[in-house]
Amino acid sequence: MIIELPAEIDRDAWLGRLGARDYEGLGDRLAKAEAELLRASGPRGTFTFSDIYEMPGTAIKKHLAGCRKMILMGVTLGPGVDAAIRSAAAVDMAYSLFLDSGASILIEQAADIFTAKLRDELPADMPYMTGRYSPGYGDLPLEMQDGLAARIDAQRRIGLTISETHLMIPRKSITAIIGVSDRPVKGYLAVCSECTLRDKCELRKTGRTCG
Amino acid sequence: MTLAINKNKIMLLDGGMGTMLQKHGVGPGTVPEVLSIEQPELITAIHREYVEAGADIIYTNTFGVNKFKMEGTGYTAGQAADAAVKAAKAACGENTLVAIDLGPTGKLLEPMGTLSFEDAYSCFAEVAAQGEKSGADLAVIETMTDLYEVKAAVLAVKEKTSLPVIVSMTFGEDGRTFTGCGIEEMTALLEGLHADAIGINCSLGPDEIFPLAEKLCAETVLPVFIKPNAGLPDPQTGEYAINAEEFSAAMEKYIDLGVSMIGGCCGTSPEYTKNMKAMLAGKSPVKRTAPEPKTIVCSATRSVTFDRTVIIGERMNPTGKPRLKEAILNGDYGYVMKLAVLQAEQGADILDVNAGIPGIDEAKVLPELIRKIQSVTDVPLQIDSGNPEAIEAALRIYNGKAIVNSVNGTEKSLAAILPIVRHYGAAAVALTLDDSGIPPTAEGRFTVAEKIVERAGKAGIKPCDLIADCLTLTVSAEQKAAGETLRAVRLVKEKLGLRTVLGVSNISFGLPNRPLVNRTFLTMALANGLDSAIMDPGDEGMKGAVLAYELLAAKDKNAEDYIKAYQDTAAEEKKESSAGSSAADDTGTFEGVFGSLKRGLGAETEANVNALLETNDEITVINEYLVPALDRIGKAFEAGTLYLPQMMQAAVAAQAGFEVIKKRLAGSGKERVSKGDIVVATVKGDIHDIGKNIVRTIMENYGYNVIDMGRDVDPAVIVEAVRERNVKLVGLSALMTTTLGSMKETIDAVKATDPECRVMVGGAVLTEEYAHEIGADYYCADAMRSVEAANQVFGA
Repeated sequence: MIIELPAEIDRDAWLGRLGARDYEGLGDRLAKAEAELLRASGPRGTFTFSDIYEMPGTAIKKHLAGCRKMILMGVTLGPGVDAAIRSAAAVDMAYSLFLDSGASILIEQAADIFTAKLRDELPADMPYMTGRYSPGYGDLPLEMQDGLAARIDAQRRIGLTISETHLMIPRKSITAIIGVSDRPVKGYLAVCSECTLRDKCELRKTGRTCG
Repeated sequence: MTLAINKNKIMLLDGGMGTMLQKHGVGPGTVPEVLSIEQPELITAIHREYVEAGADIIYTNTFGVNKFKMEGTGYTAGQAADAAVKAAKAACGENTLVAIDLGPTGKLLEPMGTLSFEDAYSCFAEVAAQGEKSGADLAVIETMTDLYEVKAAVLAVKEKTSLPVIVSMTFGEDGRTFTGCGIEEMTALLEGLHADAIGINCSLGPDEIFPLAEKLCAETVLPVFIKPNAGLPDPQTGEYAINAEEFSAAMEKYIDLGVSMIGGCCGTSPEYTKNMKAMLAGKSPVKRTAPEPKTIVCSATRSVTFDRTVIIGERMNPTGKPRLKEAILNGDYGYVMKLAVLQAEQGADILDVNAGIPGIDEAKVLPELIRKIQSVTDVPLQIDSGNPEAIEAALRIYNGKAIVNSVNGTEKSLAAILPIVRHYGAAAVALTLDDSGIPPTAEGRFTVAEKIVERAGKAGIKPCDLIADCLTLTVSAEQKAAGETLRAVRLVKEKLGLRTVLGVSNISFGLPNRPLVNRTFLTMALANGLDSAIMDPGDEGMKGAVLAYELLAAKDKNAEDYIKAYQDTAAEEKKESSAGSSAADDTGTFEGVFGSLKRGLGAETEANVNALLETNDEITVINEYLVPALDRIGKAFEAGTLYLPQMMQAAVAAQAGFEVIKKRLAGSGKERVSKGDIVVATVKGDIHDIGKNIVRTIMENYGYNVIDMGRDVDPAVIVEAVRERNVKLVGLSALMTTTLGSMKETIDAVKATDPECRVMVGGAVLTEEYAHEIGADYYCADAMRSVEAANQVFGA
């Protein structure tokens, strides 16, 4: 289904992603990039209810603790955004960087909008759900992407494909697992100590976390 | 072989396979295509139900049969295809045809994804050839969203089998596929490739597809087939919304459109087929009125019809352009890509691409240019070459329906070029010259055009796919020649009904004020029936002439385009003149350069460089102005007083300044300024390229010639580049832990080739320690670090 995009890309998140602390000399360019991204996006989402199946790692088990079912979901901004970023890179790398980082924020916003709508789809006997948990996060291997995408029929439903190295194409896409339960559940965010990136994480080097 | 579509009967296609498998208890997680091998009787039983319900054509259980999707199942694609065809044939009597089904590979092709055109082709070729061998009667390519993948599949069927082929794509309600392909593009490509029928399937129900089918029927001369889903599925239960009676009732209105075949896709079952069979009883196909032939070309997502004046961008032709020639010879395709995007922004409808440099391997370079250009713009391309081998290589990998520029009336050209144009379904420029040269009179050129039309017809090319070029000759050499050209345009247009094109600016060689002569000649040619001009889309005078002509010839309805183009002109002029008066007066000084970089203003940087070049040579401007100014920006970035976006804007502004210098050097024949060649790439398996692109931009500004190999680059390709150009520094980027292995592999391969070659690496998941562990010489935490590494290697 088509996702209704927000009117604006979250500027604070966008600046943060760009590694900038102020708008000096950026305001107009960001506005132009925002308009182009909203125009180039073909945001779509799909989901399916699934029984909980065995997945490697401890974090996903903690995430789904107390859950009876799960929702598998995928959202994408579509290939138009990738094309816009590529095209800009040929003439103006700075602008391409603005598009790329803005699209990363926009897909998060689109995923939030889509996830919020999922609450309306929950069955009456299981009205609670966790947050999103994605393959590649914590100790849930990126390889899980393949099976997840197949189960939501991602290519046919929203045009999302998975590369041989388990990366999503179009680039600006998110897949996730959400636990569904008959009682309130919080889900689980992996902590640094169990994350596969623990020795290499850029954020962690600077004392921050992604959660 | 062509499909014997029964003109007296609407043929019935089968319905969903997935739905039926689910009904038989096959759960998610099972690869349905494996069942053809492991439970062939189940597959045969399902097919039989469709046959008994009245299906005339059944699709084999091979939708997902290809080497990627069969991986891990223990079977090859060939085995699965063979078993599937046999299981289908076992269910069919003499009157039912078996179609070997080819679905999408599941991988996106370049440039969106990483699958190459050739790999996609071989995937389809394997299954199609096996299908024919095992006894399939035809091939069906279905549920496609990417026109490029369609092209690979159709060519595979056509070249590797003699089966008829029918093709359907799947659309959203907006009439576009997920990848942005529309009905026009699909039709242009498939008519060109001589598909036997064209259709729409999946995604939507019969009511939602209907308006799209109406459009398709109005657009194409090919037989049309439609296979909708049973409405839309309920996300919770997966049940489809429309039952068999409703479906059949909804399909009835398609008959009046003149469709040749109908069937069902996801959610439909033999019951649906049975209902449609009853609905079709006593009905015969409705004859469609054939659409007017039109001249149309396309990329995967954009089509151009020659019903308004078409502007063909001429700037990607190295003849007489030293900077472009130098770029192509150095493999600096970034410069060419930039020209492509700029011309598209300036309003070019089509881009001419030419790699004709003496001594160059055109058959290798031209397709590479096409690949690069179509990765950054969706403006359709015109392949400009006289070399049949180069034309074929370029046409093959072109994503859409291209124009070949050109075929002419010589026996050699007709014999070599026409079959290629026919095979790949292209359009072609028909150049009105022959073995005796350019006929001096209009009548002579008309005769050549007539001959080309006749020969093209014999080769299977329609007149609407020929665009006549009646040749612009230099008016200063032969003043009456312009009149002959114009008369020839009128003649071929009126008597042969051909569309026409001219390379306009040839007219004014050797004359002062060339733009005036060019646009006047263009206006005269338009009035004589010219349909398209090969010209510089940045030439506002010529573009204006086109707009004004369209207005006066009543082609621009309500003068919309004209007014849109010029209503703000007055305001703009005022703004510009006031901006000009307040321009900083430090232009041509170091502070002027630094200020323009810091503000990220390319045009201002150019102005500064031009001013400096009046009193300095190129090297001085680089070494004493541009590079020190960039250094100051870089230091501010390192000190944290200026951030990545501002640094990048400065780098892009600086590029504009460097470009001024490169053009001057190329034009004067002086040696280009390069501190050394550096290869950069994102490693195999990784598709994150923004970091690599940032490094490229910054390194170029520091005077390095950066050979950007792109993303997902095979180690062997990098090694080849290193060897070919004796490169001493390679920069590799990887962003995933999963692709670090690939980075190590690449480093090993580079070092094995040339132990002297240094490797610098970067990417979010790397650390200094790990970088050295995998054999890298330099770990670059950011782009400035790569400049330092390069300066060390090259002793700068």
